[in-house]
Amino acid sequence: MQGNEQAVTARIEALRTRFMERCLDDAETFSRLSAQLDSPEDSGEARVEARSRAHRLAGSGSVFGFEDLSEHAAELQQHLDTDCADREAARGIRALTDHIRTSIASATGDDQVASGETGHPPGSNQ
Amino acid sequence: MRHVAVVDDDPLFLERISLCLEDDRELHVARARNRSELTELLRSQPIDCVVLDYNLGEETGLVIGHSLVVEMKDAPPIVMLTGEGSERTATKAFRIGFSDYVSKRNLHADELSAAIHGAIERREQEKQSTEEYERLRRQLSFDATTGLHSAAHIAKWLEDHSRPRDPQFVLAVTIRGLAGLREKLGRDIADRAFNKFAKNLMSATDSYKCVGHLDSDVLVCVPGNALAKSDMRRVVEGLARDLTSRFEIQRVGINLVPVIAGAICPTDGETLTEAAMAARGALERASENEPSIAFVSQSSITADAASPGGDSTDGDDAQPFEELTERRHDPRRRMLKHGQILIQSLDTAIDCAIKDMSNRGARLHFDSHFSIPDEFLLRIVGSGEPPRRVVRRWQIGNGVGVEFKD
Repeated sequence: MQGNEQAVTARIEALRTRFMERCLDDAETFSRLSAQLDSPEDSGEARVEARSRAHRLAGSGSVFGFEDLSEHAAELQQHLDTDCADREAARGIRALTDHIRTSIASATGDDQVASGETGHPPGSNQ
Repeated sequence: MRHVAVVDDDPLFLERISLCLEDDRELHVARARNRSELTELLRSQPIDCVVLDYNLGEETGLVIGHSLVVEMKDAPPIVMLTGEGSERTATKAFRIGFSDYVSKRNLHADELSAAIHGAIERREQEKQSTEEYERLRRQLSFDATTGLHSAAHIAKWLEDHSRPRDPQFVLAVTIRGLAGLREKLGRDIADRAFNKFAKNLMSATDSYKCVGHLDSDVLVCVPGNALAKSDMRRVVEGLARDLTSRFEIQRVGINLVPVIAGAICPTDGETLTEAAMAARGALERASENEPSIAFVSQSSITADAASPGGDSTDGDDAQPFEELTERRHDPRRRMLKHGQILIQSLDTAIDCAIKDMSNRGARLHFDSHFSIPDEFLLRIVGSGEPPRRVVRRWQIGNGVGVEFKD
């Protein structure tokens, strides 16, 4: 029974690592999207993608122990649902990007993550 | 062991929440990422509860849940899981028939586990109550809705009088277009019309030996005296005249046009029960082909009555129902505007379409049927005007008429 519990714990830990990797991928995508929203080009698709990723993070963050990220992502999602200007949307996305990097850096103890210098948390396969 | 299907399009969340639930040793968790995987699970194994994410990419959990409730005969209870946290979503979910609603934010496995167990237990209690109600209903001598003898009582009566000494007429009776009334006006109004019809039948057949339900939609009556075969048509036509009437409810006038089928025991069935079943069969065929009167065997009636083309009653040409004459004091303006009804006691807003409006009131249309409160606020979205207090005057299916109170 103890072996089974250890196996479950290991699976949960592996999932958490994959979640953090995904968060950092999201952070990179959010950076690109905020840049798109700052440019004068058509921003519709960027808003939709940003909202979709924010929604996924809002829903899944807390179950992996990142309640704070969930809250920030939910706020961004609500913000993007309003008629806010693209520059304002971009500002909100950048704020969430910073939150993601800070939270993952704090969870992994890797300061380089916070500055966006590394794409994946320690222990990941990538 | 309870079997639960968890549906979420985020594979990491799906796996994590499934692992949490598997901590509960009474739960066996099956995973699905979309509608087709859920359908496959429901087809291949028993599922006691479905946990359904609201946002599933191409379609919402509400749409999938609604399909399950409508299409599955005995759909498992559904717990909605959502990151939206919207009260309107929760209201919609409950209205569709979801059992519970759990937010993904700050989600605790215990909370979800309790919601699943609660949903399953409530469903089991509902099933037990329904079975008990059905068992009691079967024992009742009278139908709780119409007041006529129940189907169980009639079945026993027919059995007890199985082989009459003289030839015996049995008549099966229903309203033309009952299924259509249900579909177009809703079960409540159609059932009230059927009750009115049943009461008319009771008054018209007070000298009959037996009147009651053959099943929920078909009534049966056995005339009191041993009639000559040639009398059968006269009796049935008289009954058809007595039963043809008009019933007004809310803003609808319903023409109650009877369809009557007659059979004779032992000509059309060796026992009274068999004759009654033969009459019901003829009734079904008559309902499809539209004569109002039918007989199982033409040889049992007089020659001039044998042609179905001659089987007509005064009500034959009447439409099943029609909207009653204009009652408005002011002319109405046709429109199609987005409205919202605001129910303060529930702190909720429900979307509707405003189909027309006069100075005194408006006609609203809702996507799905639900009980509208007697009084509420109506907001015309985009008008810039404050919400107006209104009183519900009528409701037919998804349509609602309101009167302005301000």
